[in-house]
Amino acid sequence: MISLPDSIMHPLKRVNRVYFTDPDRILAIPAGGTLVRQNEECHRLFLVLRGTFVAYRRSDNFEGSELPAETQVRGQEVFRAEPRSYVCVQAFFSRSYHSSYHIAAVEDAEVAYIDDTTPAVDEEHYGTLEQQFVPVLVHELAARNFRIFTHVSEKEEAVRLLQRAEMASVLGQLSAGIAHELNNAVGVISRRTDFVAENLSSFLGENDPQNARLFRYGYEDESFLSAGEVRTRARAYERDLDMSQEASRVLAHIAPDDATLKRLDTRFIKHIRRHFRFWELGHDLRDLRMASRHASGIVRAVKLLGGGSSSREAGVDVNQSVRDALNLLSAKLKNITVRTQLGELPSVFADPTELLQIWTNIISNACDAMQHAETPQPMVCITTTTLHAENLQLLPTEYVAVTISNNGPSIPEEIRDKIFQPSFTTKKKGMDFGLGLGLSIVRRLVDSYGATVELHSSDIITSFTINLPTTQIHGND
Amino acid sequence: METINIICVDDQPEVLDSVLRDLRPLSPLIRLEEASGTEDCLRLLEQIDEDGGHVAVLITDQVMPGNTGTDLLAKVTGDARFSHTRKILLTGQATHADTINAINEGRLDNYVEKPWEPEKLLNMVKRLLTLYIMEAGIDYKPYMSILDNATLFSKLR
Repeated sequence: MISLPDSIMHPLKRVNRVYFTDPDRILAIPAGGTLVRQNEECHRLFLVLRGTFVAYRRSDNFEGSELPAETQVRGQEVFRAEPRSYVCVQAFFSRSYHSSYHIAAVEDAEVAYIDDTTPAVDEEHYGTLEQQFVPVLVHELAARNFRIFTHVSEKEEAVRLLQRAEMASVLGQLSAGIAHELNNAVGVISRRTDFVAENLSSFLGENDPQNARLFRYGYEDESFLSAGEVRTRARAYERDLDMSQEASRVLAHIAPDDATLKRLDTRFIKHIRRHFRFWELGHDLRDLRMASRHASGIVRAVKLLGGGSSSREAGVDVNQSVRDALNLLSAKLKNITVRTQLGELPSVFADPTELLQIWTNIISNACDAMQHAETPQPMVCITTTTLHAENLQLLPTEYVAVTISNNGPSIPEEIRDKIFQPSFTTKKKGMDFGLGLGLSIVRRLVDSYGATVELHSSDIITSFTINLPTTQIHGND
Repeated sequence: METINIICVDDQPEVLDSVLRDLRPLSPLIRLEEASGTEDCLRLLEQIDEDGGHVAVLITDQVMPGNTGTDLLAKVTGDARFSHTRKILLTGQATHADTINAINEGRLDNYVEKPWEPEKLLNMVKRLLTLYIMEAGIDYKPYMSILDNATLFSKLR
């Protein structure tokens, strides 16, 4: 762990050989046993030969005489000492002989030591004991530097996580407030639009069926013609049928091609010439309806982004939440082949609704991307497995990995960092604009579980993998 | 009588619809045209030019798939056939830099933020239309009913 140049390592090895091999000065410490007590006098300098020691610092004096095993020791862990590390260096060389830490063996261990009576070996040739131990001091300095560096970066990471959580929480509160305010207003607009359209349609029908017909054409318009297409058609009608620019534009929407035009009776076409505004009325209500649906969708998504009350519980079945998501999206998945490979999983500590949100957002995004790109034989594959991570300090070791992949277009390299940000969206086409919230909801939820998202994207396959820890260590907010 | 066009460019059909409707008081003296993007607008400009028509005012969105509104304005500004054309940027998303570019490279006349006030937009377009008609040397009399009087008088004085 500590690398030092040979000019230090060679004399260090000599010191170890000369001073720390005397069988009379070797101690065996059983697991849980104490090497040094905090605040106790200690005239020895130790070298760990075998096993690991952990150093604790307690703020108050611990008065128990028999010190318990590591797990029962209360106090803050300061560092660990492994074979080839020195212990009590400062106390020994400062001549204070006073230990600042309580040092106990984690496992059966062995140490060698010198004390303040140990004479210098070969002083004529190698100098005083202090001079001979300079490499040890250098080693200790390097070890302490390393320890501080590690502590600082761990702390920075913790602060970063905390800041992100705080930002998410502020954003959540703000958006929940806005969503609540808008919800009722949007609901009124949405419902009343339907009422107005219904009433108007039947009212027009009672008076003039032709007007009602025009109104319905406008209200149910699904042509989604581009402005250029409408313009070209309208120009032709304007010229050939002697119509105003506005009326010909309406006719271009109703009859975007010659075949459709032929099916319309001349009386109706004449009617359009003077009464095209009924079509516009219908079309306005259609836009209003679509816009209010879109607004309700945003309000709903923002409410989810806001989070609200989450109730996380133990024993949640991830496979079931994946199946729920597929059920929920069954309409959207109608023309898409769905393959699932759900492995046997341990249950997790989670809120089933939140898991559902994660899966539906990712799957729904995949559907949109494939539909937009007109992917031939679109497919969504979902696999779930259990993962065991290496023993990383502070991190849980058991994860449930959920991979959602699709054979749609790849996500361009340059936007991969951005797709999890709120308001980033690639969907902008007429009224079909995306919310830009989907993946930011995923990010918020994933962060709150201490889970990770991996994204792999190529021309053949794009996959999101969520690694969800089965237990929670960060608390649940 | 000359054919005078006002063009609105936006990738969202419902925005185009609204602008065209807000400007309808100018019809039928003025032709109101729509384009779904910069490419579509350039095609439309060619067609209008072929038919010998004028483009008095060009109203464009900034953020559209493909080229931006600023790109379009710069192109039109560099085209001698449309040297008198007046320009409005109608947008909700232009950055500071976009706006500076639109003014410097695209000789922008007005900047309107979405959502716009219909009456303000109509009056603005009327003023620009009046300027165009006077500067392009078109007989203004047939258009009196839709021109901006103050602008007209200041130009006539």
